[in-house]
Amino acid sequence: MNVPGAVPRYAVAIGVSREGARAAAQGFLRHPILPRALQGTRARLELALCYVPFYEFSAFRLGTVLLKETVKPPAPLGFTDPPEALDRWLLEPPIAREDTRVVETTVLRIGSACRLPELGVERVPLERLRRGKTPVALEPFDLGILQRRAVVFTPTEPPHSFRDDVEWRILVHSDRTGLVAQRLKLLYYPIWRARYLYAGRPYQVAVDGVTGGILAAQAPADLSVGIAAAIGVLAAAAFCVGRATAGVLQSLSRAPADLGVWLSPPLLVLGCLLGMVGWVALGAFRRGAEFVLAGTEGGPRVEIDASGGVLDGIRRAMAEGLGRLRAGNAGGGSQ
Amino acid sequence: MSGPLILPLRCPRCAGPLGGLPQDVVFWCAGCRIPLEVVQGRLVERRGCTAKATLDLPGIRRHLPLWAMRVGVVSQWDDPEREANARQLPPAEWVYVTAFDLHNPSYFGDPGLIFTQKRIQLEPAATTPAMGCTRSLEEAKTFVEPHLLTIIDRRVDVTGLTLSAVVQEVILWGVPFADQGEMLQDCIVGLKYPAAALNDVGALRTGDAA
Repeated sequence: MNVPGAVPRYAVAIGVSREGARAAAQGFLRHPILPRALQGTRARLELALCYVPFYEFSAFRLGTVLLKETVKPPAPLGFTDPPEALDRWLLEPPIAREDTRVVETTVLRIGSACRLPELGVERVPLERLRRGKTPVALEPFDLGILQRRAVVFTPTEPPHSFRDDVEWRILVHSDRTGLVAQRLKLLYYPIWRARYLYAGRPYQVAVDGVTGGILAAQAPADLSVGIAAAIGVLAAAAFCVGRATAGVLQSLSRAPADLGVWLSPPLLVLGCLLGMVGWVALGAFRRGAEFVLAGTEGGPRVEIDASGGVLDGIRRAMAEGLGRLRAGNAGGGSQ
Repeated sequence: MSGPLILPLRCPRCAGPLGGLPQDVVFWCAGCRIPLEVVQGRLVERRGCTAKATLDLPGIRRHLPLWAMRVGVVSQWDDPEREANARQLPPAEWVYVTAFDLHNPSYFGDPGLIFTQKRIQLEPAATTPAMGCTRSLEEAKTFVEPHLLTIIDRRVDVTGLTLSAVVQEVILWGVPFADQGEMLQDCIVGLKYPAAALNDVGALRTGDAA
């Protein structure tokens, strides 16, 4: 029965089977930035079902709202209107009109009840799903039954803090409405966690158990293109520096000075700049990177194992740029 | 601070077991065929009826609860013109309030408000327990005046209207719905709802009684 003060619990009906989640994770692993060894069925995925708690606050806003507005008839701007009509219209005060609207609407707010960034909880579209014309179905919550087939996470956020926060956000002082039939529910949302090993290191992909979308992922990034580009830039730098040095040496052995003297300093500067860029790039891509999909905004990003500093900042920016470029070329097909 | 109260779900009349869903506040005695509401730790008898279906719809028949309250309404208008317009509306004798947990009723359509607006007169049939009553009578009473005002506001601006309603009689109706899988359709007016919009549809289908 409904115990006063207790939070009723429900499980959100699962919409993606184990095989469906496996297919979604494998589809993600076909992303072009990932190593080829991961693509296809080579990665052995271990799937586990998790249930993550969310708070749902619902209430009815009942009461009345007084709308006040001022209206004026249309301005006499026609060809047949006399010119003084417009002057009269401008001098006429607008008519004040009042309208009382009866409000009887549902208020709905949903927020996660625990922090699990590795499962991409921030990306779960539960509020959108619950507001839609085909809301997700709820099932009776039975912890014993759920724990037989899934990992059930416990809420770490206290219910009263979520409720207080929601009530503060939806509080309105300017009308004669109030919130009645307030309900707080705990909804357990299914998420598939697919784990795999690559080069001895563990990685995982979190798949939405209702929509089948990718919520969070970690994967080793394939940066062979970046390494090739870095080697090419270094070669260009060596060519520039070599040409400049040869020009200077030749000009020193001749008299009078020729064009090589004028061209050599800019070539030398350009070569040094390219050399520095190439060196930083090689450092970034040689050390490897991780492909990460997390957070509420933006698409996947590439992270490198950086230890801080200006050079590592430059390396990180380059790696992320390359990741965006590759992800853009792939058309975001994995999401 | 007092601890949790454990209330045995036994009928005060016959001591028979009471039926209901995990989130219910009203339970039915299978033997006496009466609904009992939990009010401040006590079981209080209510008058319960099952409505006779007027539409013969395919699907598994389920009875969902609606509070019906016969009301006496007193209203006062500031504006005689608006009052005259409002008098053209036939008065609602019964106000219905949805008693089951319908998700987002302002989007899907609140059956209680629709029944009130259509001035539905339900006819009793053989009593069948209506499961899924999650709204108490006290909570239902807060919807009476807003329902009446909403119906008037659809025809006349209610600025300057003072309205008060006195509940004279209460019945908990079990309204027949046809469970068609994806949708549920009521057998009185024909309102359609996605099954997922009923938060307790899973418990209703599995017969997960408390």
